[in-house]
Amino acid sequence: MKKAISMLICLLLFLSVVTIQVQAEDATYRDTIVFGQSSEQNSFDPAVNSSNNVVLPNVYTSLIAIDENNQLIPGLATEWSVAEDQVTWTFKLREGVKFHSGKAFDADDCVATFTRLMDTSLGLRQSSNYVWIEEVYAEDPLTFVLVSKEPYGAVEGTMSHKSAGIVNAELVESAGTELGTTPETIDGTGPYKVVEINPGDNVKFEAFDDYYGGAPLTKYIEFLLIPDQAARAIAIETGQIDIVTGLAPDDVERMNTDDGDGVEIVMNESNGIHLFQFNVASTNADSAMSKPEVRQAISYAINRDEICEALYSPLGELPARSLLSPSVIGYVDMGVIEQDYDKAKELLAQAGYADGLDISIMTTAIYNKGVEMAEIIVEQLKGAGINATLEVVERAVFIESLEGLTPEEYNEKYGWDMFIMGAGGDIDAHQSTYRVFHTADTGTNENNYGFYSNADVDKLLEDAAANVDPESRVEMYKEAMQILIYDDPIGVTMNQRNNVYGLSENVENFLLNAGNTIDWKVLQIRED
Amino acid sequence: MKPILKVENLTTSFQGEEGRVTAVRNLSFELHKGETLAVVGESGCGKSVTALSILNLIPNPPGKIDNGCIWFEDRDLTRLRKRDMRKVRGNQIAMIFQEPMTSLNPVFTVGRQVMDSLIIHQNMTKKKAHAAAVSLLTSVGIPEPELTVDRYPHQLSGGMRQRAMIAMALACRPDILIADEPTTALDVTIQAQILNLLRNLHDEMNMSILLITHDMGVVAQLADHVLVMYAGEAVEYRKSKELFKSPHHPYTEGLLKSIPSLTEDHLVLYNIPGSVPPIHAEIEGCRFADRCSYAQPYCREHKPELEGDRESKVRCHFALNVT
Amino acid sequence: MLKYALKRILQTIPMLIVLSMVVFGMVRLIPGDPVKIMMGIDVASDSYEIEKERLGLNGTIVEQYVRWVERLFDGDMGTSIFTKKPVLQEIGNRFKPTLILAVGGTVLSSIIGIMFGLLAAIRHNRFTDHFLMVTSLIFVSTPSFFSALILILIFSLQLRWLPSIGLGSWKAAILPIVTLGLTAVGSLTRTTRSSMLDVVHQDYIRTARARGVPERTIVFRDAFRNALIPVLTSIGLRFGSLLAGATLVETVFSISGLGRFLVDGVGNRDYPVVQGTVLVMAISFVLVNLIVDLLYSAVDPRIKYS
Repeated sequence: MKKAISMLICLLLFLSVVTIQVQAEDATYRDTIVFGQSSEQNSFDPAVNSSNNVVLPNVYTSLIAIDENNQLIPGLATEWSVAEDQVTWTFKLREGVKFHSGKAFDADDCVATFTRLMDTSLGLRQSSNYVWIEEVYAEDPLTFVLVSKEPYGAVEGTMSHKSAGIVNAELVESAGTELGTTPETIDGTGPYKVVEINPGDNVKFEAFDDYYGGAPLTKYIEFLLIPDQAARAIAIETGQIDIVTGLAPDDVERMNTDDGDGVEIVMNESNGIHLFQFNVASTNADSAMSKPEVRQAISYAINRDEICEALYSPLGELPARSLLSPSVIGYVDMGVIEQDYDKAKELLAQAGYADGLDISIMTTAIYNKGVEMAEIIVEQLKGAGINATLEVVERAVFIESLEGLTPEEYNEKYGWDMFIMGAGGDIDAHQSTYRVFHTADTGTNENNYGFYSNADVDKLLEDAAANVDPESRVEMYKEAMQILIYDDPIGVTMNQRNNVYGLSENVENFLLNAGNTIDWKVLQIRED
Repeated sequence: MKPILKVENLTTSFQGEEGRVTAVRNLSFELHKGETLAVVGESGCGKSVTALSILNLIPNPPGKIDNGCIWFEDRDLTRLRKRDMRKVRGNQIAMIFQEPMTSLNPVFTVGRQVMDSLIIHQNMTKKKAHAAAVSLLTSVGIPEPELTVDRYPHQLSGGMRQRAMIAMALACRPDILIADEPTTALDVTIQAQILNLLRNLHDEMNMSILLITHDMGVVAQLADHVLVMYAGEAVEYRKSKELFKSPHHPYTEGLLKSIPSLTEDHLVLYNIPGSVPPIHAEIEGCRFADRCSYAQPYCREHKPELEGDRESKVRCHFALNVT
Repeated sequence: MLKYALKRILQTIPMLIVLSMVVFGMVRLIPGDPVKIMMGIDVASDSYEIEKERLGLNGTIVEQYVRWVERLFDGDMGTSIFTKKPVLQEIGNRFKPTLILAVGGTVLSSIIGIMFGLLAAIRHNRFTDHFLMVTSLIFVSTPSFFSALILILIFSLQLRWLPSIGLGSWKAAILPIVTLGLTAVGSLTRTTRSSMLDVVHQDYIRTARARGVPERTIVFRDAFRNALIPVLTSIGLRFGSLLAGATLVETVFSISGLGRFLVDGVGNRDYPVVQGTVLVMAISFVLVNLIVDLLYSAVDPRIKYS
């Protein structure tokens, strides 16, 4: 009897397992996934695109790729190394890779891609990231060699950047400046090809079945432009789109707590932070901003936890722990400065401002909650006897104020002591630190926005740039951060930004990295 | 002979800003077949309101026929259902108005507007109505009627428009034509033509005409009988010739005196002193007393009634020229 | 009529020239450098200079204007700084959605507005009249994006009957057209009503009554025909302004029309786009005005035969 019962139980278990298995296989998937985006890609040319990392890494492939854990992995290059001379980099290329057009990929395409980027006479936006290259050539069809002018620590980081996406050499020749403007002039090695571009409306992608990493699981991907934030939220809730980003914190909070509304919220730490940078050259109040004590005082007067709690908690954003983002090579956790009014007042007194200080702060709404953040800061500064006036500007003015003015011009025309800014990085610390934190040789603010200058920082950044040993570089950046954040503050860091996505619950295999790239190849959406 | 239209104690009032005002007060008169009765008086005496009341065209609100009967073909028009009243209008009783330009619809052709009555009341086909319209225009003396039929009102001169309006009114050969100041807005020469036309039509069709006017000259040319109104009331009713010869009511005398004469020299045109009392004023006694050169204290205290026989009535305690 | 039309068109040419100059100058007065905006604040200076020249933004403002006008005669409205595509082509792509919205919105608001206006006039000073007047006031006062969002919340989100994005299907066109229509319904109702009330007191209506014309015919034929004339002008002008795009509606419904195109162009300081789009809008508005005038003269015999 017992035996019969146990056999019956086994049979039932077996049957249930089998049925579950069969049901799983029965799940059908849709052939199109629809993304809702807030703005369009400004170009499909890797050398020009400055929009975001959402699209290009899925259309083009760089020599080095970044996986969902922000690790560098082989892309079109299977292995790479630097020679003893520290300037010659050799990349072994993947075999049997095809472009969307069907043309076979080889080292000539790499040569064409980088030669183009190195040619500053073409006025390509991303060229500034490649000025360190001395020459490039193809040793053989599957070996690409790149020589830097000097030892350069950010080579791997740069090779993994979306601007290093390899383009079809023939297209460079034939399309010229039209490259990346129409489906015919977009030819990459990525898992998806562009089939239709309707500016202001949508872009359609189709799976590239000959992709070296295997045929993508979903045939079509569509990007719909939905500029209005509320409309985007409604679109995902009504199922008109499947994946969305750029949601308002209130909507994120609501969708996160509301179960059964069909929307899932996914967040991860992104590559960006917010900060308020100092105008070190400000002549206001006997050049108060030039004194490190004053800037430190301001930093201690601010309560970062309070700001993040008040403005960014629905997005899960916490105070930044460095001027770099965690996913960036060279990042070290520098801790968060806690609010301390006593210390702030003490520092101010030391600097000669025991009676308080008047400063001006500029902010703009192009940074998420930038205006609200500034308002809270103004309030918080009062507690340390600092009286701040706030000016809100629009995007065009914001950009114009950073177009290469001398300190005199800047102070004359704008004269802000602090202004909102973004920072963080894009895989390697060098690209995001040197440009902004190193003393500017032009003396203008087109890159070093706050006219910051510290000899020690300069040296550290120069050394880190020229050093190809990853561990030493991390040390150097750590030291630099200590100065930039604590000793001679360049600004006050605010929140570490998150990528926040809303997904239909039917979406599967959603893999997102800090650089805001999703792996479209494995993305799928179930039929209800 | 039974009158074709008999108005009995007609009282029509309007809701004004300062209260209800009576425009026509207990008015009674008769119109006989084939007769032209002129209703005369100054502006505001209620003659137009009388005309509109007959066809029940008083806008309600703010106006209303408070009291009275209007007998036509053994029916009281004031009590008719809307549907039946419509059948009378433009069909058995027609009306023409003072301002031919504004009284014609600017966006429809003259022909269409003439054909309208024929189609509505006699169920004519468009084709037949069109032909009938052309002949109607001819009969009112409009030149090139086949062309005029397709013209718009603004393309015609004042005189032509009035003729067209007459044609519209006569389309269904009405028994009664009410003409409200038909020549007032026209030039003197055109006036004469229109009056001629009316007279001819009257003769040809044996039509009864109720002629509303303030122009004694027009009365003299067309009217068989005259009803003089003052402040909403009838004050005298006479045969036209006799009224001109010897008016009974002081007001009528004043009216006649006001006609400028071509033969006499006037340094100053005569006008009756004073003005019509405000229509919402309730007055004891004779309503004309304040302006009457013959007024006695008695007049101001006792209201005179309309008295007389069938051919001659007057509302005055001290009527003139009465034998 | 043809002569009249030609004369009118010729008259507008000086105005268009002045307009183009004004727009050309004004858009360059706003702080902000389009090249910087497009290329990013961290662009290298030589790339910047090269791009600036390529876009024809070098030289004095007069030189730039002359260059633009010259190209205009070749049918070239320049290239969008932002999308790198020819402005004329971009405008062309966005004209169809704008046209759909303009026609749909105008037709809807005309039908409903005239109906309501007629009803209010017929039931003058009664409850229906007051109710319709209040309702139309609400419609007129409600901003379009607000009505849009309310409609979306009800019909897209709650009921899931209609989509809220784009113009992909006829269903998708319903909500944006209704939004646009609602805003105009208010003013058309009032215009129709007052026009009708005006007409209904005219002498020729009394004449029609005196002829025994049924009341219903008087309202719908004799009065309406007259009342319609100024209303038509109103409708025509409304259509003309809708052709210039309905930016708010386009944004909320994610429709790629001319309104948004212009606003985005201004935000990006995309000079060729702003210049070209404003010129196109001005021309179409002028044309619509002309057509309305011609229509007016065709419909009103007093003007037609004078």
